[in-house]
Amino acid sequence: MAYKQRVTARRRKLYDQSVFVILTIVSTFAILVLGAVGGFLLLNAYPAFSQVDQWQFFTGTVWDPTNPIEPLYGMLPLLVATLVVSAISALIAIPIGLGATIYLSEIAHPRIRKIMKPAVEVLAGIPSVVLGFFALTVFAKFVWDLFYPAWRPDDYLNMFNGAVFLAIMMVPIMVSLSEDAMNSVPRSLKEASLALGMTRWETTWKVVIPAARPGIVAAIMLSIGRAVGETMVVVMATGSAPQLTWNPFSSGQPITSTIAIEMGEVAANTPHYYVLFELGLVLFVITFALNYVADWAMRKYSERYQ
Amino acid sequence: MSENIKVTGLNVWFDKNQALKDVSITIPKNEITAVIGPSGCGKSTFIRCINRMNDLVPKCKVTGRIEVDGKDIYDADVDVVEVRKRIGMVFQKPNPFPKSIFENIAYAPRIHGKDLDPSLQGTKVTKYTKKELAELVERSLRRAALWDEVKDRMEKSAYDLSGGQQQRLCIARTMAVDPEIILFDEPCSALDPIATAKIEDLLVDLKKDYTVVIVTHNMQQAARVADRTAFFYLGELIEFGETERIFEKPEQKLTEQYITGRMG
Repeated sequence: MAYKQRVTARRRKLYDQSVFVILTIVSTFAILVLGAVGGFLLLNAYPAFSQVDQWQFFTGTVWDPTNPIEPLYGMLPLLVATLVVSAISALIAIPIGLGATIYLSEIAHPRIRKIMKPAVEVLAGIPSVVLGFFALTVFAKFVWDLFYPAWRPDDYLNMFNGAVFLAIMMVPIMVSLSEDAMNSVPRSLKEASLALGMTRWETTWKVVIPAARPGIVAAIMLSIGRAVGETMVVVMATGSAPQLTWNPFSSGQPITSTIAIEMGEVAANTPHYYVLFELGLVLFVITFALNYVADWAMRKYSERYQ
Repeated sequence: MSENIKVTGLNVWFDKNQALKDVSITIPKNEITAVIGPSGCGKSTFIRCINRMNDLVPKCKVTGRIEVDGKDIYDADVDVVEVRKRIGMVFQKPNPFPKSIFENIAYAPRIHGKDLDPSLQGTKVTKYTKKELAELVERSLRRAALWDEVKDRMEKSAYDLSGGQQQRLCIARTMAVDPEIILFDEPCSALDPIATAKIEDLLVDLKKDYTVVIVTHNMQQAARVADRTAFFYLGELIEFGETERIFEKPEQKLTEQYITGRMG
């Protein structure tokens, strides 16, 4: 009997250790992939640092890499387009996303929630090319004619057009994540507030949302990250004209579009080729910074409470 | 004794399960009434009816009357928010808000404002000034015998306090709304004996100003603090009377079995 127990004990230990080893390998792999992507970008972007005027790259206002006489690699038009498109999509998506979250977690009847939450999550699964197609064929025309003849967008395909559909992609991510955060606020906190004679709305606004704030901030940041990195919708819907403008009703060409459009046509190992990788690096830094801000915000708010 | 809460023919259903059956009881003012009974006997359901917390439970149906100072709180014209302001509640597990100690107390009064004329039921309200709010917080904490322990760290998170301190914070928070009745739903079940003793001392002290109803699974606690004790079994009120009498000369066999430990 004693011998038998020793065998099972040893087996259990072996099992424990192998699980530990496997999980360590898997998680290391994830970090390695991240490092490899960063390294690959850096390696391919490196020649651009010497072959392309870096001052011109970061401050240049003209993106004309195929100009046969003097190619210009100013990334500002692309960066500004990325900022405009992301900012507008965030402006549209955040209020809608938060409103839908509050409705789903605090107001909706459980039966409605049971149908609506999966429905919202399915929305997240719509391929971006389908949304882009819709933006290109239906929505662009709708906005084009909406206030005609009083007003018309400057370009038929414009940044606003793309931003609306980015927002449609952001909302499901935001709702799904922040609803989880609101749902995990303990019931006892809500009851405490209601027992003090607070209305449901006061309780939601002053107790539930503050307690869920770290999760909500993370949800917003992640969905903005999604908007910054999204490619297909902006390629199809924003007009793809690299002009420097803050006007959302003009065409624009965000960083992601530029890489997607030009990478297929560019000759390998030319300055243009390397610069596209440098653009990738810029994008990488932006999304990294967004994640960092999300992380910082989460820590800042949760520290104050614990 | 002047009556404060008069319950007549109270029935509660959760979906198809009847949790309370025809309960009638009169709870006197400025006394401590303990509600005892084995798990699942409906004692928590009973006090959660008194401030209408069961409204929040889906598929919960309540019939019968609960009159507080002569007014049925289940009448159609009653504002449930006003009911809960007048009838506070302290829960089983300490549940401070994830805010500072000060904010935990100031939270409700800041939103409710100051009732200028209580007889007008919250129609004439003005905001507390910063100074008044600070005074109210101090008064409430003193009343809950917590002030000396926390006065130097009012801006610290309420989660830094021990379990017993958190529970007294929750009591202070309830008193800051200035209720008439405070309901305690097993307030000591998550606390150690020393913290429990402090809460019990506080309870006895509170009955000068408030009517106290306490649910407890601890019979000694009922014997120590309560003026009157009600024994519930399977959703029915079996016996109700002065605590001493209930514990020494119970009239019902079920009560006797329960308090002598042969049941529950």
